[in-house]
Amino acid sequence: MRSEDRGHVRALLGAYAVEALDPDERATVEKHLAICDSCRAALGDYQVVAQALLAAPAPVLPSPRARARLIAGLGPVRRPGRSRARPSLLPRLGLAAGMAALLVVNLALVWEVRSLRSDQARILQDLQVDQTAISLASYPTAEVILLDGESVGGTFLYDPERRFAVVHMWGLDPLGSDQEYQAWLVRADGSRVSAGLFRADPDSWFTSAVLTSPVPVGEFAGVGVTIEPSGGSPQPTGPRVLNAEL
Amino acid sequence: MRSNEYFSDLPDPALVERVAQGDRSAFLELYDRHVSRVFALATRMLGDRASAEEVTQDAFLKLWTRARAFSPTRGALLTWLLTIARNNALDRIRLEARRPALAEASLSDLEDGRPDLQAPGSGSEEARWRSLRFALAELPDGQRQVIELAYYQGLTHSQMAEMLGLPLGTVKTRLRLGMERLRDGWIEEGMAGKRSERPGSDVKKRSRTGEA
Repeated sequence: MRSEDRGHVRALLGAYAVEALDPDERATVEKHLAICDSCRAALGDYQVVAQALLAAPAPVLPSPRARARLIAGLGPVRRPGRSRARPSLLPRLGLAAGMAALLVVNLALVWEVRSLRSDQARILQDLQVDQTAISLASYPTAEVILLDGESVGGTFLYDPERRFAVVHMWGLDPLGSDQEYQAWLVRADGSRVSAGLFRADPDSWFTSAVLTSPVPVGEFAGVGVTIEPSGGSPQPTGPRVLNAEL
Repeated sequence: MRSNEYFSDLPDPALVERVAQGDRSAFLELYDRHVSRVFALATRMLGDRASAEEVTQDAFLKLWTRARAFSPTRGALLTWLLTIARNNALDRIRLEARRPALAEASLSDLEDGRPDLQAPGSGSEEARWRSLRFALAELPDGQRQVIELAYYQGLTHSQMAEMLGLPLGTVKTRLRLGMERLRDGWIEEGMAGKRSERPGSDVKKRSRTGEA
């Protein structure tokens, strides 16, 4: 069987070298090559040709852009794990740069999450204001008064029996971080009680806020809004923006 | 970033060692040295420049990230790169079920394409590849075709028989005869090369009308 095998295999070596054999014939050839030196030597001649065929097409240069893209895409060289040799400075600098880049990405993510959270908080607050306003408006005894100011306007929605109210305003200037708007409820004797702090909504013409009162709102004679230092004041100190009599 | 003159004197294995240390200049020297061969093969196999450029990029990126995997004792760097490029190209051909048009350009037709002005490789290597290119072009069309379909398109005997509508035996015979001729020509060329380092082959291109 050896000699006919050899003749058969010899005729297939060229095809084997250019990988043209179907699986069964390839297996036959490989089995024979394992035991036949002269066929292995003969295959060597074909393999040299096959290798040369890879280099045979006439050389053509790719576009210079391809070279530039390749350079731009070169990352640090992958090093084998736990190399005993001390890494040279350059790759370590590369690693440091990579870590720094990662840190920047992480910080950006943290910042993004924080800003999303603050967005979420603001949306929840807006929702609360709206729900409060809707519930107030549904009271049969609810009242609305107009707030007056210079180039600023608003409405004050309250129920005299309740201890909260909703104020809607438009045209409020956004304030610096060191200032806030403060709402006041004004008693008949002129004394004022703080009803809450809020900031102008920078994304909207309108700003809404829920105001709270220690006693039913009906006990007050008026309402006003002033600009106060951030954190609010016990008594109004800043310019008055809006006011109205109840 | 242009590869510098110092590197242009270093042989491939010395440059590969530097690439393994992350030396970009050494890498670019190797790129400039070999890219036109790798790109030529990829273009020959895939037919379009865009895919060929991607395959070429992949092969060189592998050199960049896996320079340590290359062992000079197992063969030339160019062969290593070409083998990677060929495998990548075959993967693409199979993945995209791309089938070559029968009338597609043969090696000899690409001779008319934009040539690389400073072709790499030593003069004698260069001359031998060129001779092989011409030897392939000189084969009877049917023989050349099956060699190219097998090696550049990854088709087996039976796939070629089906595609060409030929008896399996005919395909096998053509491939065998074609490879024998290339081998004989190669050996002859090698002996001639030893006698005198001649610059190139003067074989004339044959007219290629009426392909099978």
